Amino acid sequence: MSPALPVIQARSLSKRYGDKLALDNASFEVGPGRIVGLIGPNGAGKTTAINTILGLIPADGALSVLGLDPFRQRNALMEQVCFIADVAVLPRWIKVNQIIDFVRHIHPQFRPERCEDLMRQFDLPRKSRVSSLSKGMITQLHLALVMAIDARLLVLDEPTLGLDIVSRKHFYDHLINDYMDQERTILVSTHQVEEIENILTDLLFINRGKIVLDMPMDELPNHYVQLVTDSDKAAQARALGPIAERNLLGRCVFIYENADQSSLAALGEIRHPSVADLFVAKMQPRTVS
Amino acid sequence: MKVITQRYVQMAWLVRREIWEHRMVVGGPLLLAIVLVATGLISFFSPSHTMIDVNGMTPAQLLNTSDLAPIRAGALLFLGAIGLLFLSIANALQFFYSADALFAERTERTILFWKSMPVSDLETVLSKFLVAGVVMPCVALLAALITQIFLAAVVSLQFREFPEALSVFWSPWVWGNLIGLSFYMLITTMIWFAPVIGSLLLLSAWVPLSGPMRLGRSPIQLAILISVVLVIVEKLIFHTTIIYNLLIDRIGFRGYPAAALVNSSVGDIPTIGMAPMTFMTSASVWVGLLVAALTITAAVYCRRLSESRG
Repeated sequence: MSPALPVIQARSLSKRYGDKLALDNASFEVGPGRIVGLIGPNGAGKTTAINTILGLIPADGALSVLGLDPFRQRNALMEQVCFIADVAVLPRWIKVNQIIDFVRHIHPQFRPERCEDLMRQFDLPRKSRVSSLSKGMITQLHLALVMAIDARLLVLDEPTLGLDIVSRKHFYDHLINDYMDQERTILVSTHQVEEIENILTDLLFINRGKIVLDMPMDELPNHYVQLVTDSDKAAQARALGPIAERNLLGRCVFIYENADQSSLAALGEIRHPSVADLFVAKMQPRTVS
Repeated sequence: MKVITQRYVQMAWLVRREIWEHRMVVGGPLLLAIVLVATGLISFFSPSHTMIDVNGMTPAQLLNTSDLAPIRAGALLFLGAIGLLFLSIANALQFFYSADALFAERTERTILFWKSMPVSDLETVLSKFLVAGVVMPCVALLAALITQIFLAAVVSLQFREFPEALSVFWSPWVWGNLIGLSFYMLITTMIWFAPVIGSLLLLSAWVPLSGPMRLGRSPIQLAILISVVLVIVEKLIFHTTIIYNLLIDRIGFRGYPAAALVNSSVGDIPTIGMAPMTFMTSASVWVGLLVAALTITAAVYCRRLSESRG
């Protein structure tokens, strides 16, 4: 596959569970070398989208991951894709050295020397069972296993859920410093948007199964601005069609999409909204808190 | 060629993984071997062992005879009973293992880790079938053979004053027949129980983690419950016992094709003869293999869609 081609290409992806539409005509692309944040509230369809990309479940529509049909060619796909679904999925009965041996013999892209380096860095006890490790250590072990695999796509579904802030920070530091390069792509789904917004290159917001935002991070300032103004100018600001508004310490905060920034500047202070603010704006438009 | 070798290596590691997880695969037969060997040793060092009589005769009277045929047959029966005990334990362990193999990984959610490896659902299910259907009986047979040799040595030491009888005990006839019968039983029971193992693997992959079908704590309880309910419902509604007979024929060994072929006996106790052609031409064997293939395919399908089903 040419490096210019998308790593993930989804067209009109739909998945229904009974009456509930978990994915509703979702279309998006993920290019090589990108770090994409798939962000959405609970029940938005994040895990369904990820499971579809990983070939764990079938879905309607067209989906290509690294040029393969994930559901039909899952075996071949898993040689080039790694995923951490949750930190709690490592078998608790297995010993650290057993799981390393197992992955080494099962995965053709596993690099033992890289795993050894990481194990030394993390200082994990080799002969212990996973059940005797702390949650942070289990995450490090899982990360060492995944980072030792020469995969082109890494998919992380809430990888740091339940971890303390130090472990979460270490997780992302290792991921960026020791793993990421131009050949690799990372798709990460998380609730802790603030922790990863500095490492993301692209944003994918999903709500009720629909993709509501698909944009590179460096284009956000061109499309979204935040206006902080006094309450006496709120009516004027509201007239310019914000997608969200809220009150903050007696002032009014508005978020605009594709607005004329010169008109807004006359009303107050213009800022770039954080990913968290933008997320709330796109999920709950025009609400006042 | 490289791909084929890699597949074999993968399968060997999948099997190894199962043995790591389910320590009873080796631990069960090993424990039985330890118990039997310990019993043998206690018997050897116990002063009362010479008091055991058979048909009103002491062991010394039994062994002090010129007619060696009953001793030979008795030795085969004694050692064969040990082998059968190991195979029976292996069968019970096989059933428990098969019912748990594809269920535990879903309840513990470790299935998401295993599925992150480039291993197909078919390979995973086949590895579990191999462990239940082949590895467990082979481990049991190996443990049985070591126990048989050890206990034969204990008996030899106990009755060392009867060298003529002991030469029969260690004769090629006894050990040739014992090993031949053991391997015959090993192979035929592997084939015979394949549909039971396949059905339990299917149940293990299918049982929902929640909802009304989550009856009991494990699929083995559900298997027993479904069997009992089906037998009772059939009897009450149709007044027939087809399902009951099917279960007894298969699990209770009643339909085992070689069981009826008694070609030797010791006293009133029949021994199982080797009749491979009779076994392999039996309809129940081939129907069983077909059921095994269908249930394994269905188990693969259930595991494939486990994330869709929850």
